Amino acid sequence: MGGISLVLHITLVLVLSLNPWPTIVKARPEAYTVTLMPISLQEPETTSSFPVIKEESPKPIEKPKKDDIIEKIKKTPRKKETVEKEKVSLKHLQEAIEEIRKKAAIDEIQKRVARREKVEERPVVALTNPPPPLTSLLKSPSERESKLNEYYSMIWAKIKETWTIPENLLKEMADLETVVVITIDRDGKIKEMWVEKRSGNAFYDQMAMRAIKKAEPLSPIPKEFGENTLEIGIRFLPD
Amino acid sequence: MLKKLVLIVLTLFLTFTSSAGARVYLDINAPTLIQIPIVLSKWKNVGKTSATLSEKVYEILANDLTLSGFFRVIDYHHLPLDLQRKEGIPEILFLKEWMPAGGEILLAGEIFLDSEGLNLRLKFHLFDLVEQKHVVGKEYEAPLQSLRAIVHRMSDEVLLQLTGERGVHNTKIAYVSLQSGNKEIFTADFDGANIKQITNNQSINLSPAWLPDGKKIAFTSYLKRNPDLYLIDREGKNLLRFSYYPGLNASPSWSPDGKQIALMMGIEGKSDIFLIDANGGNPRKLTKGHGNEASPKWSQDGKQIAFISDRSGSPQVYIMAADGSNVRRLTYEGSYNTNPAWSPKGDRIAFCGRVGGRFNIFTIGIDGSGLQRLTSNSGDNESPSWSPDGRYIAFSSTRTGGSKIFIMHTNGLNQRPLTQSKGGESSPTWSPRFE
Repeated sequence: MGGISLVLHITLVLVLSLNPWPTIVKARPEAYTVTLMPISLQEPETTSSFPVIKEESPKPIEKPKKDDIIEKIKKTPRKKETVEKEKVSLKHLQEAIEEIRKKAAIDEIQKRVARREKVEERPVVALTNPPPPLTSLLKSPSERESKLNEYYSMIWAKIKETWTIPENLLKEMADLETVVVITIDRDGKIKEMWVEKRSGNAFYDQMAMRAIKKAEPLSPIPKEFGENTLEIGIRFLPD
Repeated sequence: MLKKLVLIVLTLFLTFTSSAGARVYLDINAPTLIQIPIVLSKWKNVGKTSATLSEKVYEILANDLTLSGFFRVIDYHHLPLDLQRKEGIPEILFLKEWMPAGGEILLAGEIFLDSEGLNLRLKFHLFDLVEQKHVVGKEYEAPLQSLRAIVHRMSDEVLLQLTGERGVHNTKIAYVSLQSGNKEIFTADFDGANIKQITNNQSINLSPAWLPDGKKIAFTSYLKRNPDLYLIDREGKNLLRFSYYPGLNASPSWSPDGKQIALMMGIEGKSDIFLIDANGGNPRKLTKGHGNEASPKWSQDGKQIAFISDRSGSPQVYIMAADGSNVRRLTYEGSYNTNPAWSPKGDRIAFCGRVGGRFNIFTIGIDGSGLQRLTSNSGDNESPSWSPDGRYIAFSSTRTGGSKIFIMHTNGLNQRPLTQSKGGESSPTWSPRFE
């Protein structure tokens, strides 16, 4: 029994040391409610020269359309992904070990990136222009990872193309940063979208959301990626 | 047994990583710099409204949005035929029809003139075409003669909704013009309309300064031979001489609370910055150096005053506390810096600097950092004045020959003349917003 305990401890220590996720990945986002456009809530303005200025409600008050993503942006609680890994057979174990090895390598890279990012006070891993293929840094990237990586590059390029802000506002927005998280489904449609980090400037947040909407539909998730949906965080920076 | 435990641990591990490690973050930077494409559909006439009237509204609105510098207006005349004909406010359900228009935003409206032809009712709605949704709708009522003002107010609202800051379409710029043959004070709207001669005394009138409430303008005039300070309301009535100490009474700047005026006075053959009360009484000398001091400008919070001094041998911008203490030099680049103007947010000062024999507009942080040049290769550019939203600067420029008032964004872009005059304009001063 003592032997078992020892092995268990060693394994745990090993697993924990392999697993620096908390330093890299943000905690679950809190429940944000996203309002894309600042719906004007001002009281009717009245002045002597302008006797009446009334707020108008949208002409047709209609229910959100079924496929209207925007309406669904109100953050729904994230589904707990219970990756109930079937029964781990020996074959699976082989894969699992391979997986761990790769994860460890990714972790190492991410740890390094995170350390560098930390200096720049950036909390998370960032893919920038051009997105350095994260997994390409691995010695032997699997098909799945390189596909996924290629996919990230495509998403990056597509949204970058639609990311626009008015030139005359650039100065006012120089230090802003908005992080939007999207869930993409199999065929590239955006299932969910919410602002994880607001910039403090509602208009800037709107432009970020608009960029994503303009980029839709995104490319279908690569087959090699086992899941039905893929969650990506997108950080919008003015320069 | 051993193996089993290892497997359990591994299973746990995989569960954890695949749920927590799934999200990758992509950095999207360097956005394409654009002007927001906004479709202005045809306005609908209701009641006694004539087509000319709704076209007028349309024109003022389109011009306002263009002048703001944030939008590329897509005129309905340039739309596909079926969209050209669509007028009034669309149903959200049919927003998709507007996709071929090529805009991100749709502005649609209708105008109603009552049966006597005296009162107007305007309403407009903004739609986000990318997200296919309604943004805002507003309705305005006013007498027909307030048409321009009411449309400007709509434009201001559009800016608030789409850029996060209310526009300044309902502001005026006061300036000195030689149009009548003498230097008189004039005002014009932000869009260059409503040019109005405020003084008409055939003397020399200089350096207009708006009262903080925007109802009156102070200025220097030689009307009684000595350069004294006068006050006049913005309709050009009720002229009042209120500071006439011997020598110079020039370059007034109101404290934000309207209770005091900083001005330049020269009594002993040298000029200094003084404070006087709003009624002209109780003069207090603020500057104590040996140099000549000029062009005082209050900061928006009323705590500091920027001014020009030649105490170092050349004119430079200085800042002092409103009681005259804590004097510090702000500008060190160049040998001739004048006309300071404090930004509404209080973080920057615009000024006129001489470079290679030419005057140009610069801005600088109040800590002396971040010097930016806004004009170049365009004649002499002087007398900067900030708009109340801090997004624009009015200045005078000789780029087209005579001196004319120009407006630009604070990044130096979108420089345009205020009026169509040939020249003879100087000393622009931006009014506060008229509420």
